[in-house]
This record gives sequence, C-alpha cells and structure tokens, in this order.
Amino acid sequence: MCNRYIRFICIGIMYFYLIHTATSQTEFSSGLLPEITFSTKISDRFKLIHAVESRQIITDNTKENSFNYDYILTDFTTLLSTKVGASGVLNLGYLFRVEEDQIIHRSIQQYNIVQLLRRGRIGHRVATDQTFTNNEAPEFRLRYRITLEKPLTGDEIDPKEFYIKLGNEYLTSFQQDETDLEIRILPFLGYEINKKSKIEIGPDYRISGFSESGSSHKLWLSIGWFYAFDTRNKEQHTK
Amino acid sequence: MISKNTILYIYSILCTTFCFSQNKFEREYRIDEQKVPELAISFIDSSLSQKNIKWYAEESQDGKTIEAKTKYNGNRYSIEFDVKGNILDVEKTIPFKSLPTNTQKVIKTTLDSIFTKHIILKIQTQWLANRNTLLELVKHQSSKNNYQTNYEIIVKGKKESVYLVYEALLDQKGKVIKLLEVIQRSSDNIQF
Repeated sequence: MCNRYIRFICIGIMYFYLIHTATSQTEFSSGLLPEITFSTKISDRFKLIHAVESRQIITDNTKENSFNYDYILTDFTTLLSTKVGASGVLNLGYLFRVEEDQIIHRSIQQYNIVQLLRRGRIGHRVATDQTFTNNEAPEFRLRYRITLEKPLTGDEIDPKEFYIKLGNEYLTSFQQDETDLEIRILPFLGYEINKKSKIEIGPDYRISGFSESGSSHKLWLSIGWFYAFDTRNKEQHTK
Repeated sequence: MISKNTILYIYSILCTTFCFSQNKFEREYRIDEQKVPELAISFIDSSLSQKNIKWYAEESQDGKTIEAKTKYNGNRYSIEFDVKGNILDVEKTIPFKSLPTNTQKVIKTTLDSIFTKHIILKIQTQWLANRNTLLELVKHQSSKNNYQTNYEIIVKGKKESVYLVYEALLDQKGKVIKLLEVIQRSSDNIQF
C-alpha cells in the first residue's frame, strides 16, 4: 500500500515537472488552494452545502519577482442540492468572492450523476455559472467534469483508508465578444477519516488561453477537507 | 500572527469532528494469505481450482470475519469465514436475468410491494449450509443435501417520492429477511 502511495506521488511530481519545463515560455503561476466543504442533509431529498476556498499564489513568471507569496481571494459558496430521479442531483447556488477590494457575485447551476462501480464510482457534472462584477462585463461559463474515485485497499473506501480521485474538467467561458477554453486535470490522493469526513490533496492543473498567442498554465496545490452532517436519525446500515 | 483564540477555535472544530466520528464502524482491508486460517484456505483449495484469490478481513461492531473474493467460471464469489476459518456463507454475484423466471417474478413482486419504483444494482445468491454442502455447491452449483438459498439485493428504490439505496435479503419465496437503507458515502467530493 505504502509503495503504491509513494509511486503515485513520484509519478505526480515527475508529471508536473515535465509540464513546468514544457511550459516555461508561457504564463505560469502556482500556489495553494485550501478548501473546506460542509454539507448538511436536511431531508432525504435536500442538502445544503457550504464551501470556503482561498487562493494564495507563490510563483508567477509574469511578475518581476516570480517567487513571491501573495493572497489572492476567498470564495464563499452556498448550494442547495436536491435529488432528481434515480441518479441525478441538481444543485443551485451562489458564490460570493472577495478579491482585493472587489466583491464578485456568481450564480451556479449544476447537474450531477454518480455511477457506482464494483470498485469505486464515477461522477459526471455539467454546470453553468454567471459571474457579475462592478467593472467588468458579465461572464458566462459552461463546464463538464468527470471524476473517477477508486479505493487503494479493498473494494470499498472505508474509514482510515486512502483512495485516489482523478478528475478532468472542460470549461468554456463567454465574456462580451471573447470566448476561452480551460482544461483542468485533478489527480488527488484522498483519505477517509471516517464516514462523514475526508481530506484530499493533490495538484489542480489548469491550462487556458488557447485562443490567445500564449497559453496560461496554473498549478495549484489543492488541500480539501469535506465534512458531511446528517441530521436524520434512523436505523440504517452503513456501506 | 495567529492569535490564541484562533488556535483554540481550530482545535475545537477538530475535536468536534473526531467526537462525531464515533458511529458505526465497518472496515474491509486486504490481508496476506499467511494470515488466513488453514481451515479457510483448505475450503478454497477444495472448491475452486484457481490461484487468483483475494483475501480480506472485515471488522465491525459485530466482530471480525475473513472473506475470500474471486472470479470463477464467469461469476464473482465472496466466501465468508469466521476468524477460526469456519465457513459462514457463500455469495455469488449473478445477473438478475440469469435467475429462473419464477425467482425473478418472486423478487420483482416483493420489491414492487416495498417500492413504487426500483432499479436493481446488484444481486447475489447467498448459500447457507454446512461445510461439505457448500463445497459441493461451489463445485457443482447444486447439492442433494439441505441448504438455504437467499438473495441479497442492492436496490435503488423509490419510497415517498425519493430514491434511496437499500440492501434487501429475501428468501426463495420472496419473504423479506432484512431490509436496510444503505447510507452512501458522501459524494460531496465528486459533486462540488
């Protein structure tokens, strides 16, 4: 188990070293992306999700002093989640972003399907969002993400066990006359603390600016903590 | 500088998290064959003519069991033993349509009586018998000795306008032996 874990990290480091070398002529920035997500099940059908995510930049090759820690922004998100049919989940919500002295508002609509596999599960997410600020034209985005989650031990992810989560997302954005595409690659290592709580760590690599002369590469180290409250009190079987 | 109050606040959140974690404990993990009781290994050697066996230990409040999982003749088997190696049951994952038509009907009727709509996600035949009969069942898929066949079904069922996942254990006549809601692992991390 330990060897697999070390191999996973080594491959990740090599992969991102190669990407960094290959993209050294283009815009490249990296930093930290800590995130806390709390969800509260209010009924069998509805759930509330609250998330706080912060961005802190460490390197930026477009600046004179490329190695310089700088706090960028904090996002506060609230989503109302409801089950649709046998497998679908619809989320509607609002994001409140504090970036320097600016406040940014974003409305969010997401549709998720989670498929159970014999070992692990796959999640599909189709989402749209609309971003509004005081001094810029509204931005509209359409995005699709596929996520594969697999246990590193046994057939199921049990408490005190590690798992891997591989994500790939495609985002198209429209702002005034401009359109752009962003691709995200998200290979994470997760640890299930208990049935309600898990932590995940890994690179969140984003490539954008395909329509411009030089592309932009962003590499975040994402650290996420997820905690799920369940206010229901029933005799149930955990699996 | 981080103030003392901030540290206390973070500490109290972490303490709350670990207090909440004291709920039902169930854990399955791989084990080496060397740690498997000899009696369990001899059952597998006598019943399945293959080497590709994965051994697991499962711990819960109810105790510890040993499980052998393998694919044999196109079917996935899960064979459960106690810690001394005594066999508890044999489960075989099968496609619903491979069951006899009458059994399909019985299962469907029972599920229809519980749920307004349902989707079967997984079905396992569970055999309960003594060691020799279970050996015969695994080898030849039938036995003249007495044995009990149950069906363990993971089903997504709609009750009160909401779909939830359930584990149902039915006997051959369709009588419900056990019906429990399966609490799914939170999927917040793959949804948001």
